[in-house]
Amino acid sequence: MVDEKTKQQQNNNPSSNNLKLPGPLSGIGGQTKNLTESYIKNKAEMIAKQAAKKLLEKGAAFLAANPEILIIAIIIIVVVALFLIIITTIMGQNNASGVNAQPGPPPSQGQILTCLSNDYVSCLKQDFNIIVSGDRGDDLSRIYQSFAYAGQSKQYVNLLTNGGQQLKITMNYNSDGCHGDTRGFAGTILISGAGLCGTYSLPTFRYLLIHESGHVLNARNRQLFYSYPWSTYNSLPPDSSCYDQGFIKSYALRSGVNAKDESFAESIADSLRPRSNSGMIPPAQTINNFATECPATYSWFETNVFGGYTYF
Amino acid sequence: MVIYLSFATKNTTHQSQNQNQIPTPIINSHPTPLPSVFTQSYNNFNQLVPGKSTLQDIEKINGPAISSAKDGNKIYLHYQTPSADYQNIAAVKNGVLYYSLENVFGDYRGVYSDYTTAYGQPNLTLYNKTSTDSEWFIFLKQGLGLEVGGNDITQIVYFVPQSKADFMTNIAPELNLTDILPVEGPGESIKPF
Repeated sequence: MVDEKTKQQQNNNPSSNNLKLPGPLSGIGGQTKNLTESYIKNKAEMIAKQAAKKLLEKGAAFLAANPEILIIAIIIIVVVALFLIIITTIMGQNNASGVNAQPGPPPSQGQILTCLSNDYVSCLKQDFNIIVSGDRGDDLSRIYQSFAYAGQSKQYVNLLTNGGQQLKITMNYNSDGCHGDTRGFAGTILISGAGLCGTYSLPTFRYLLIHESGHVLNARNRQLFYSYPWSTYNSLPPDSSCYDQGFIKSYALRSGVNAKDESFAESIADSLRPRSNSGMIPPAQTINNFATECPATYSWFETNVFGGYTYF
Repeated sequence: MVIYLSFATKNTTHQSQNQNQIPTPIINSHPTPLPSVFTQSYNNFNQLVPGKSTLQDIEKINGPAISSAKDGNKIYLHYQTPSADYQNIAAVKNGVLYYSLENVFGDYRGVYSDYTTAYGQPNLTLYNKTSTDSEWFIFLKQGLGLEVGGNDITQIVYFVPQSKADFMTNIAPELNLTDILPVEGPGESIKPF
């Protein structure tokens, strides 16, 4: 049973009339509104058709009276169409060859990277995944330049950054001498006596850093290190005279360190310049030309570490 | 019975998983001549059982040693590897294998993460006294030590499971390992050239 109040609400609610007037214009007076709109629509269509017909008739009459304009119009349309076709074809070829697909070619072998922004912290991170603590401006620049020089070989950079772990360099100024201490497996290089190191020429500073980087490269590419035929080279000609007690003779020490580890790191540093002598006092000995005095070792590192790139 | 079967199945599954993670080829005859490619497996050192394998077992599984040396009550058998720079060693004490050291040149023994997945974190981290280019991880309960660079395994030492104190006394000195990180000193100082 429905009470009176409910019946009144149903009568006053337009949606309750949907059985009589379905559709978007449903409601009281909806049918009248439909008829009016239909009439207006039909009238407008008729007027538009008549106007278009008149326009076409006038246009045809004009072109019939002036045929040269018709020919010029056709020529313009054809020329524009051909132009569009040619442009589209050229763009399609460029995309197919990847010219537009690449942001730009990678730096070529032999190119020394530069840090245009002079923000060496960012450049070291971006180009070599290196972070430096002890942020003296001069050192940052020289560290970047050292790795940029070695980085002329893209393979060297790839091997150094293999695994994606950061290389952390700490500059320690509160110590004597100038030497490096590397935890290859941890990816850390500690440069002690950085104050003195800072007075050395860039090639000498670079020699130290790249030697230390050789330990990191070793740790990150153990199978490569294992394939370095160290005992063959240090015991047989033509390279045996280039080694002393198993050490590449330009290296400073002969005991307390691993001869193969140090020879590997030293050879990477020696590959960047012909003449080397890290300690300048015995037992370190001068190699006057790494390529000719140690041809097998030089060739192995040139091929396997530097991807065929030569620095001198 | 059902419980026993269930438990046995679980154990078998676990072993299969471990075998998938850490390659352990079953080879019962001694190895053929060394492969020319470094990255191929070339020995059966992983088939020796420290504390059980006898001298005869070692030669049966890995062939005759290229040289041997006696030191006190131990005999050290040296085996060739694909690199002239390294030799594998089987140390025999009182007639049975005391420990063995295998050089690894490829991923045929798996990678480091395979071992931590199977065994958890190592009990010890050690360093070679003369090298800072790699580190060693020791799994005492499994009787296994790995020299690792990155995720690559480059040496494995197999030994009888033992305590940390025993390992540091008995095995670590033989392998020149220490738990103190070695430091390169000023002797390596570079000078202007």
